[in-house]
Amino acid sequence: MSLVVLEGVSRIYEMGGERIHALDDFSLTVEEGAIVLLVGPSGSGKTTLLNMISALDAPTSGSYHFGGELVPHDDVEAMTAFRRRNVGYVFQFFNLLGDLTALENILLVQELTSGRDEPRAKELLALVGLAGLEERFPSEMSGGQQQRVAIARSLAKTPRLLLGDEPTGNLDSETTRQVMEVLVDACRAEKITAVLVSHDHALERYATRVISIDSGKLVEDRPGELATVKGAVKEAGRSSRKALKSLAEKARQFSQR
Amino acid sequence: MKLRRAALGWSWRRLVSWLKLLLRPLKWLLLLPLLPLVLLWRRLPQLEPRMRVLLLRRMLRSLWRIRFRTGVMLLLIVITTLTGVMMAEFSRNGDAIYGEFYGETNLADLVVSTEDQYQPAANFSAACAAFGAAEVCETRLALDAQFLRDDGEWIAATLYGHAGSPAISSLWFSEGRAASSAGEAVIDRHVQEELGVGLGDTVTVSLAGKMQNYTVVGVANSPHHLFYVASSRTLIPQEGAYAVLYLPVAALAADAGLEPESRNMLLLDLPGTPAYDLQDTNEDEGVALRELKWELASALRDEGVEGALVGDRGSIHSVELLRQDLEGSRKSIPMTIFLLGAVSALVLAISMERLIRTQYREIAVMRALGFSAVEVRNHYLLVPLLLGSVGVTLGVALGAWFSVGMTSFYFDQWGIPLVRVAHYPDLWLAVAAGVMAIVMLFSLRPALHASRLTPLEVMGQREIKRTQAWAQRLTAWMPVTMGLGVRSTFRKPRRLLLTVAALGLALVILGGWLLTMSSMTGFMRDSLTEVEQWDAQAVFMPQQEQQMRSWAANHSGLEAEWVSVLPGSPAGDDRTFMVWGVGQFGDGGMHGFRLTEGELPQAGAQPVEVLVDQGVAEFLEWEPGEVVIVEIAGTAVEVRVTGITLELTRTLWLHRDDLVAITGWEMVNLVMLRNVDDAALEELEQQALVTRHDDLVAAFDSSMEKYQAIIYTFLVIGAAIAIAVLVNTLIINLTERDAELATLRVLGASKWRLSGVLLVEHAIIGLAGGVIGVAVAIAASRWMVAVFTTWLFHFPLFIDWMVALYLFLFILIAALATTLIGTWRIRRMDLVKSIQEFSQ
Repeated sequence: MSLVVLEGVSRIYEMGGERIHALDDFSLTVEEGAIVLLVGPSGSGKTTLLNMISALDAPTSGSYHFGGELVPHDDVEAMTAFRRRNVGYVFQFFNLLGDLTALENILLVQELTSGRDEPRAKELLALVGLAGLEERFPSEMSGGQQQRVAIARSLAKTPRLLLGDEPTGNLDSETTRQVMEVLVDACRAEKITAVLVSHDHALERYATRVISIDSGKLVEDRPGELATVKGAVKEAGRSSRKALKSLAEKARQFSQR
Repeated sequence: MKLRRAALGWSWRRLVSWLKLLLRPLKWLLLLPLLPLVLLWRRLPQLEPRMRVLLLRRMLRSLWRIRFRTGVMLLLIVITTLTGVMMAEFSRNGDAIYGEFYGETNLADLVVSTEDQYQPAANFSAACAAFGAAEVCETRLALDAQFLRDDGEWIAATLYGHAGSPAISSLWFSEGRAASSAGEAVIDRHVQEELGVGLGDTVTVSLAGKMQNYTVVGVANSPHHLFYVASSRTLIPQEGAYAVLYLPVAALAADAGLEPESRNMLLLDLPGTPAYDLQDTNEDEGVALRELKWELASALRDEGVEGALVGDRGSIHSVELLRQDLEGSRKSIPMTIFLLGAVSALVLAISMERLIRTQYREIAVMRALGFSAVEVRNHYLLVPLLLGSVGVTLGVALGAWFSVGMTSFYFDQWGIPLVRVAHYPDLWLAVAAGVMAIVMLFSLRPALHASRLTPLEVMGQREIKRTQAWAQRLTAWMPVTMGLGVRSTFRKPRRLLLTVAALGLALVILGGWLLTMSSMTGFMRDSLTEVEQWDAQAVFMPQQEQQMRSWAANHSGLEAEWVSVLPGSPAGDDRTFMVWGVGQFGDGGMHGFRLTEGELPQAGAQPVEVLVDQGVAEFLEWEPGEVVIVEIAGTAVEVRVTGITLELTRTLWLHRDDLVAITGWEMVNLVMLRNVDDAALEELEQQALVTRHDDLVAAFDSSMEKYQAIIYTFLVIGAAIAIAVLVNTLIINLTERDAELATLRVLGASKWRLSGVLLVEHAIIGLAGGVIGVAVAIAASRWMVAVFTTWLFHFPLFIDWMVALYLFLFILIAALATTLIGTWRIRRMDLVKSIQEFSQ
């Protein structure tokens, strides 16, 4: 089923007397369960597109349907409510609240929607590989750990769509790999559609679809590595290794009892 | 008892005295913080001129970007300077005005009074000649009378008779000429203004039981009656209740049925203006003058003038009261400037810290490009320099302008004819320098902090502050959104402390003033309404006692309490109090006593038992049970203080029989009346100085109304400062959390939920600020009472807890109301721009 449907969306900004076409008659459909990577050079309109999809910004023209329903575009609180119900967000610089522990950052988002569910919050932390770090503050964590908390936070309200703006932009390559694997696994486990913006083409291996954008226009739309046979095999291998690792860990714990 | 008295004000008075002694030589150190300014100026030439202009332009743009906060900082500096200049100029103009008026009228240096014991003028002159130290001596005749108003009411009056043209304590004419023959009189200018009497009018006076008519030939002010009250026991002027006339002495004596040479006053002009002992200081400024007064008293006795009271300018009620009033304003100037300056400087420091924090990266860039630490420091010192310079300039201009209005308004109230308002650039400079010094001093720390930042410190990582561990434990059980508000408040304890400190200081002015005024007005009103249980009070000469008793006997149904009132003083002390010999203490008496310590005196005890008022007890350090020596109408006697009572004026109370035993003089000169009808009072007004209780209360209320403009001005200034401090600091808190709030908005938090977070935070600040603010206000009011109360005007401090509650609620509500600004900011938040900033 098509979750995100953008039709003929344009976004024009007035800046210093000039009209800037950040998005120009852009159409896009994203199926449920897809992991989409938006790539493009700086100023190409990636972030603007992401802002449209997340209802942070409204199109100048065109339409945006989400799950078959028209997304509000002229009422700030309605747009906020849409985001609250449907969208999880991962930022480049994590944007965790420093006064809250890892667990509390997740509980905070739960309180915005369905209400506090501490077991679920712990489950999410475990899902991103941070079991045991519930009481740590962001200042006590590495960048990779913080981003994983951010991913867990974005999943806290079980959104239908997860958006990430340069989610690994601030991480080294090894941490990028770890974070992306966590993100992809989490999306798959929670059956969440993801749209990620990045300038890093290396992330294509984690995507089922790669969309190139330039000057506000669609340049290329092709399958990501995850959608190819080679990618699927790689992913299966990785998943198996992860599953085996998990199994080995459980066996070790069992034997120690 | 001692501890309780200490709590009431003793320790505060001593503390204030010690502080004053300590700070006196240190005042010049106030200029020391200006040294960095000098150093800064010396450093600036090191920078290339165009670079300096660029940096200046950068700073101006930064300040414009935060223009609301810049405006608040500027406003606070302007208010501080304005208030300082206004009060300083008012004080100095006051000195000049009084100095000029007393100089022009040649106010007497020594005043001798024999009250109603008339002496031949020759005796006074001989005493003066024997004394030998005076340049000029003049005798006067001063008589109490009643004046008939146009509406048929009789009011109290004093008639002065003088020979020829007085050279001492002369009249300042606004119209007409001196009275030179019988049937002529000069009226005091207050009579003209309050009663509408003018030149050529005929006035009727009842003098010594006979009606006299006088034609008004002149209107003038006297230096003895600028503060225009009928009795030295009165602190509250009653409009239209008193008349003063000036006549030729021979005519006055004849009209009163006295010998032509009868006199009861002697005025002396000494060389120069010798200093006299001020009642509101601990030092004795009049040591030399006291010796002269003893010599004069001795000379008077030698010439057969008995019962003479020798006083200096301090004993002239009007002169002393107005002097103390002005002195009170002067005393408050340094502390007011310091407090206001400290508040402004604290707010500036907090704002500077915030500005520097938002410019961390730019500072890092500047340092990476090669700017030295000193140059960065000096660059940020431009903030207090720019704002301070503009603020003090505006403040001086406005202060000078307001001082004209304040001075004119104040002296018009007393009807002083000579009101010349001058401006004093040296005061402007002193106030401006003081304010700049405080502002620069408080701004040094943030500027130094900016100068010590290194590029690596700033660029290496994004700073994540975490909350205090105890705050986390405290809020762990709360919903996270509520707990977030609490933790945010305590995330930066130093900032919170500075905010609460600034708020506390702001409330020193508003709260201290409010509590002091409510205490003072409440005390005065209670003294008039609850303590004085009479309907009317009449003062008369002792010789009229029989007449008064006959009058009372003729009016059945009225209650009368006969009282002897005499002047008194502590032995060997120039300060005076009134001694009241009453017929009854406790139930049934028409004067209620509010005992704070001890008990009522018993009649016939040895030594004689007395009550003293709290002012006397505090200033003279008398305690219940203590035996002291006092002089009553010239007779020294030992008395035992049995208790302390709250009174408006300095008084000593004892049984009338005991007073008779001390003075050997059985007389009454005052009667308190109850259940007396108007007709009877009108009859009485022809014979005695009558004060109706309702008129007294109305006069007090009217006086308070006159001062409302001044009172409300200070309240508004204090409230504006408190609100400016609170709003400024809370806005800084809000801006610091822009990223956090934007993140929550992106994640889907509604503005109302976020407003709830802010509400919790502001409630905590409001509660803490309110509690500390009230505590500071109470301390401030204790200080104000300790500084402002004088021998003449003393009042205890009673904390009105309702006022304290209003102060607390004011701060709390103001803090909560600031949430609306936060909600407005959240609503206006450009999330697209925020997302871009997150990526940068």
